[in-house]
Amino acid sequence: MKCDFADSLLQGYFDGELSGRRAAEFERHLQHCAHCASELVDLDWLSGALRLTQLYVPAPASLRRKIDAYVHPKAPTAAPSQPLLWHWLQQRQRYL
Amino acid sequence: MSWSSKDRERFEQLVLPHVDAAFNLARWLLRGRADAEDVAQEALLRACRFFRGFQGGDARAWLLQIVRNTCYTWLEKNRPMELSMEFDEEIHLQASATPETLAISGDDRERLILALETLPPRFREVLVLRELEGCSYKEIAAITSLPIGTVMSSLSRARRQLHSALANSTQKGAIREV
Repeated sequence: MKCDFADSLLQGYFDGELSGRRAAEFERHLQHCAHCASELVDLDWLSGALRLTQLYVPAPASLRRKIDAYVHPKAPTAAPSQPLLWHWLQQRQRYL
Repeated sequence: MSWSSKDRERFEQLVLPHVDAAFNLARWLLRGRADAEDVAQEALLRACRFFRGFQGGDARAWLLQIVRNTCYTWLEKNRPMELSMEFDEEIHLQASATPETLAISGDDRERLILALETLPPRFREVLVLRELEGCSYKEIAAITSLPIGTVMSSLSRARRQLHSALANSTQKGAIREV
Protein backbone atom coordinates (compact mmCIF):
# COMPACT_ATOMS: atom_id res chain seq x y z
CA MET A 1 0.00 0.00 0.00
CA LYS A 2 1.40 3.36 -0.99
CA CYS A 3 1.93 5.96 1.70
CA ASP A 4 1.47 9.69 1.10
CA PHE A 5 4.57 10.36 3.14
CA ALA A 6 6.74 8.17 0.92
CA ASP A 7 7.39 10.74 -1.79
CA SER A 8 7.23 13.93 0.17
CA LEU A 9 9.43 13.18 3.17
CA LEU A 10 11.10 9.81 2.74
CA GLN A 11 13.81 10.93 0.26
CA GLY A 12 14.60 14.04 2.26
CA TYR A 13 14.78 12.05 5.50
CA PHE A 14 17.02 9.42 3.97
CA ASP A 15 19.35 12.05 2.49
CA GLY A 16 19.50 14.06 5.73
CA GLU A 17 17.91 17.07 4.05
CA LEU A 18 14.94 17.60 6.39
CA SER A 19 14.87 20.19 9.14
CA GLY A 20 14.96 18.80 12.70
CA ARG A 21 11.23 19.39 13.11
CA ARG A 22 10.34 17.62 9.85
CA ALA A 23 12.74 14.74 10.58
CA ALA A 24 11.14 14.22 14.02
CA GLU A 25 7.69 14.29 12.38
CA PHE A 26 8.78 11.61 9.92
CA GLU A 27 10.32 9.46 12.66
CA ARG A 28 7.01 9.48 14.56
CA HIS A 29 5.28 8.40 11.35
CA LEU A 30 7.89 5.70 10.76
CA GLN A 31 7.03 3.98 14.05
CA HIS A 32 3.71 2.79 12.65
CA CYS A 33 4.16 2.73 8.85
CA ALA A 34 5.51 -0.56 7.54
CA HIS A 35 5.54 0.79 3.97
CA CYS A 36 7.91 3.68 4.76
CA ALA A 37 10.07 1.42 6.94
CA SER A 38 10.43 -1.00 4.05
CA GLU A 39 11.11 1.82 1.54
CA LEU A 40 13.83 3.12 3.81
CA VAL A 41 15.56 -0.28 3.82
CA ASP A 42 15.38 -0.35 -0.01
CA LEU A 43 16.84 3.14 -0.27
CA ASP A 44 19.68 2.23 2.05
CA TRP A 45 20.43 -0.92 0.09
CA LEU A 46 20.37 0.88 -3.27
CA SER A 47 22.59 3.69 -2.04
CA GLY A 48 25.05 1.19 -0.56
CA ALA A 49 25.13 -0.82 -3.78
CA LEU A 50 25.91 2.30 -5.84
CA ARG A 51 28.76 3.26 -3.54
CA LEU A 52 30.19 -0.21 -2.91
CA THR A 53 30.45 -1.09 -6.57
CA GLN A 54 32.72 1.91 -7.09
CA LEU A 55 30.97 3.39 -10.07
CA TYR A 56 32.81 6.70 -9.75
CA VAL A 57 34.98 7.15 -12.85
CA PRO A 58 37.94 9.50 -12.27
CA ALA A 59 39.37 11.60 -15.08
CA PRO A 60 41.99 9.91 -17.28
CA ALA A 61 45.55 11.27 -17.23
CA SER A 62 45.20 12.28 -20.89
CA LEU A 63 42.42 14.76 -20.00
CA ARG A 64 44.51 16.26 -17.19
CA ARG A 65 47.45 16.71 -19.56
CA LYS A 66 45.29 18.52 -22.13
CA ILE A 67 43.84 20.87 -19.52
CA ASP A 68 47.28 21.50 -18.05
CA ALA A 69 48.64 22.37 -21.49
CA TYR A 70 45.80 24.87 -21.94
CA VAL A 71 46.25 26.45 -18.51
CA HIS A 72 50.05 26.60 -18.86
CA PRO A 73 50.73 27.28 -22.53
CA LYS A 74 54.42 26.97 -23.35
CA ALA A 75 56.02 30.15 -24.69
CA PRO A 76 56.75 29.66 -28.40
CA THR A 77 60.43 28.90 -28.93
CA ALA A 78 62.21 31.51 -31.07
CA ALA A 79 62.41 30.19 -34.61
CA PRO A 80 65.74 30.67 -36.36
CA SER A 81 65.59 33.78 -38.51
CA GLN A 82 67.27 31.93 -41.36
CA PRO A 83 67.02 28.39 -42.57
CA LEU A 84 69.57 26.13 -40.90
CA LEU A 85 71.26 25.26 -44.20
CA TRP A 86 71.80 28.96 -45.02
CA HIS A 87 73.23 29.50 -41.52
CA TRP A 88 75.58 26.55 -41.95
CA LEU A 89 76.80 27.82 -45.34
CA GLN A 90 77.55 31.24 -43.86
CA GLN A 91 79.57 29.67 -41.07
CA ARG A 92 81.55 27.62 -43.56
CA GLN A 93 82.35 30.66 -45.73
CA ARG A 94 83.90 32.39 -42.74
CA TYR A 95 86.42 29.61 -42.38
CA LEU A 96 87.16 29.13 -46.08
CA MET B 1 44.57 32.34 -23.85
CA SER B 2 45.63 35.51 -22.06
CA TRP B 3 44.93 35.75 -18.37
CA SER B 4 46.87 37.01 -15.41
CA SER B 5 48.95 34.72 -13.22
CA LYS B 6 46.50 35.52 -10.41
CA ASP B 7 43.56 34.25 -12.52
CA ARG B 8 45.53 31.13 -13.39
CA GLU B 9 46.39 30.47 -9.77
CA ARG B 10 42.76 30.96 -8.70
CA PHE B 11 41.55 28.63 -11.45
CA GLU B 12 44.02 25.96 -10.38
CA GLN B 13 43.00 26.24 -6.75
CA LEU B 14 39.23 26.44 -7.21
CA VAL B 15 38.35 24.55 -10.39
CA LEU B 16 41.04 21.97 -11.20
CA PRO B 17 40.40 19.89 -8.03
CA HIS B 18 37.01 19.07 -9.60
CA VAL B 19 38.27 17.57 -12.88
CA ASP B 20 37.33 14.07 -11.66
CA ALA B 21 33.80 15.24 -10.85
CA ALA B 22 33.54 16.84 -14.30
CA PHE B 23 34.64 13.67 -16.08
CA ASN B 24 32.48 11.38 -13.93
CA LEU B 25 29.32 13.40 -14.66
CA ALA B 26 30.11 13.47 -18.39
CA ARG B 27 30.83 9.72 -18.37
CA TRP B 28 27.45 8.91 -16.88
CA LEU B 29 25.47 11.42 -18.94
CA LEU B 30 27.05 10.29 -22.22
CA ARG B 31 27.52 6.61 -21.29
CA GLY B 32 31.02 6.34 -22.71
CA ARG B 33 34.60 7.28 -21.84
CA ALA B 34 35.76 8.61 -25.21
CA ASP B 35 32.81 10.99 -25.68
CA ALA B 36 33.06 11.97 -22.02
CA GLU B 37 36.71 12.92 -22.39
CA ASP B 38 36.02 15.14 -25.42
CA VAL B 39 33.00 16.82 -23.82
CA ALA B 40 34.65 17.24 -20.40
CA GLN B 41 37.65 18.82 -22.14
CA GLU B 42 35.37 21.22 -24.02
CA ALA B 43 33.56 22.09 -20.78
CA LEU B 44 36.83 22.73 -18.92
CA LEU B 45 38.08 24.99 -21.70
CA ARG B 46 34.79 26.89 -21.49
CA ALA B 47 35.29 27.14 -17.75
CA CYS B 48 38.73 28.68 -18.41
CA ARG B 49 37.21 31.23 -20.77
CA PHE B 50 34.31 32.12 -18.49
CA PHE B 51 36.34 32.06 -15.29
CA ARG B 52 36.59 35.85 -14.99
CA GLY B 53 32.78 35.86 -14.72
CA PHE B 54 32.84 33.44 -11.78
CA GLN B 55 31.98 35.53 -8.77
CA GLY B 56 33.10 32.96 -6.18
CA GLY B 57 31.00 30.51 -4.23
CA ASP B 58 30.71 26.81 -5.00
CA ALA B 59 33.26 26.15 -7.76
CA ARG B 60 32.30 22.48 -8.10
CA ALA B 61 28.64 23.34 -8.71
CA TRP B 62 29.68 26.08 -11.17
CA LEU B 63 31.91 23.66 -13.12
CA LEU B 64 29.37 20.82 -13.08
CA GLN B 65 26.71 23.21 -14.40
CA ILE B 66 28.98 23.95 -17.38
CA VAL B 67 29.71 20.22 -17.85
CA ARG B 68 26.02 19.38 -17.72
CA ASN B 69 25.10 22.08 -20.25
CA THR B 70 27.89 20.98 -22.58
CA CYS B 71 26.73 17.34 -22.30
CA TYR B 72 23.12 18.26 -23.10
CA THR B 73 24.20 20.35 -26.11
CA TRP B 74 26.26 17.37 -27.31
CA LEU B 75 23.34 14.97 -26.80
CA GLU B 76 20.95 17.30 -28.66
CA LYS B 77 23.33 17.32 -31.60
CA ASN B 78 24.43 13.68 -31.60
CA ARG B 79 21.73 11.62 -29.87
CA PRO B 80 18.55 13.72 -29.72
CA MET B 81 16.36 10.62 -29.18
CA GLU B 82 18.06 9.99 -25.87
CA LEU B 83 16.81 13.27 -24.43
CA SER B 84 13.20 12.39 -25.07
CA MET B 85 13.64 8.85 -23.78
CA GLU B 86 11.26 7.73 -21.07
CA PHE B 87 11.74 4.87 -18.68
CA ASP B 88 9.43 2.14 -19.89
CA GLU B 89 7.64 0.89 -16.80
CA GLU B 90 5.91 -1.76 -18.91
CA ILE B 91 9.06 -3.62 -19.83
CA HIS B 92 10.46 -3.48 -16.33
CA LEU B 93 9.09 -5.35 -13.38
CA GLN B 94 7.39 -3.40 -10.65
CA ALA B 95 9.93 -3.16 -7.85
CA SER B 96 8.95 -6.20 -5.91
CA ALA B 97 12.37 -7.69 -5.35
CA THR B 98 13.88 -7.42 -1.90
CA PRO B 99 17.45 -6.34 -1.17
CA GLU B 100 18.30 -9.97 -0.46
CA THR B 101 17.20 -11.14 -3.91
CA LEU B 102 19.02 -8.18 -5.51
CA ALA B 103 22.28 -8.83 -3.65
CA ILE B 104 25.15 -7.26 -5.57
CA SER B 105 28.31 -9.29 -5.95
CA GLY B 106 31.45 -8.29 -7.81
CA ASP B 107 30.15 -10.00 -10.94
CA ASP B 108 26.94 -7.99 -10.81
CA ARG B 109 28.69 -4.64 -11.16
CA GLU B 110 27.98 -4.73 -14.90
CA ARG B 111 24.31 -5.33 -14.13
CA LEU B 112 24.19 -2.21 -11.98
CA ILE B 113 25.94 -0.15 -14.67
CA LEU B 114 23.49 -1.35 -17.31
CA ALA B 115 20.50 -0.67 -15.04
CA LEU B 116 21.75 2.87 -14.38
CA GLU B 117 22.24 3.45 -18.08
CA THR B 118 18.65 2.50 -18.88
CA LEU B 119 17.42 5.55 -16.96
CA PRO B 120 16.63 8.77 -18.86
CA PRO B 121 19.51 11.29 -18.57
CA ARG B 122 17.56 13.64 -16.26
CA PHE B 123 17.08 10.85 -13.71
CA ARG B 124 20.56 9.43 -14.19
CA GLU B 125 22.13 12.81 -13.50
CA VAL B 126 20.40 13.38 -10.15
CA LEU B 127 21.41 9.90 -9.00
CA VAL B 128 25.03 10.40 -10.05
CA LEU B 129 25.19 13.82 -8.42
CA ARG B 130 23.64 12.57 -5.19
CA GLU B 131 25.02 9.04 -4.83
CA LEU B 132 28.42 9.23 -6.52
CA GLU B 133 29.27 12.91 -6.10
CA GLY B 134 27.60 13.38 -2.70
CA CYS B 135 25.95 16.69 -3.68
CA SER B 136 23.30 18.24 -1.44
CA TYR B 137 19.83 18.98 -2.85
CA LYS B 138 20.79 22.66 -2.96
CA GLU B 139 23.91 21.89 -5.03
CA ILE B 140 21.96 19.60 -7.38
CA ALA B 141 19.37 22.37 -7.81
CA ALA B 142 22.14 24.85 -8.69
CA ILE B 143 23.77 22.44 -11.17
CA THR B 144 20.55 21.38 -12.91
CA SER B 145 18.65 24.69 -12.58
CA LEU B 146 15.71 22.79 -11.05
CA PRO B 147 13.72 23.80 -7.96
CA ILE B 148 14.65 21.77 -4.85
CA GLY B 149 11.18 20.14 -4.80
CA THR B 150 11.77 18.87 -8.35
CA VAL B 151 15.21 17.58 -7.36
CA MET B 152 13.58 15.59 -4.55
CA SER B 153 10.83 14.15 -6.75
CA SER B 154 13.32 13.36 -9.55
CA LEU B 155 15.52 11.49 -7.06
CA SER B 156 12.51 9.57 -5.82
CA ARG B 157 11.53 8.51 -9.35
CA ALA B 158 15.13 7.79 -10.34
CA ARG B 159 15.66 5.50 -7.36
CA ARG B 160 12.41 3.69 -7.99
CA GLN B 161 13.27 3.22 -11.67
CA LEU B 162 16.77 1.99 -10.88
CA HIS B 163 15.37 -0.49 -8.41
CA SER B 164 12.90 -1.75 -11.03
CA ALA B 165 15.55 -1.95 -13.75
CA LEU B 166 17.81 -3.87 -11.41
CA ALA B 167 15.04 -6.24 -10.38
CA ASN B 168 14.32 -6.82 -14.05
CA SER B 169 17.95 -7.54 -14.93
CA THR B 170 18.32 -9.78 -11.86
CA GLN B 171 15.38 -11.84 -13.00
CA LYS B 172 16.75 -12.03 -16.55
CA GLY B 173 20.11 -13.10 -15.12
CA ALA B 174 18.44 -15.77 -13.02
CA ILE B 175 16.58 -17.06 -16.07
CA ARG B 176 19.85 -17.20 -18.05
CA GLU B 177 21.55 -19.07 -15.21
CA VAL B 178 18.83 -21.73 -15.06
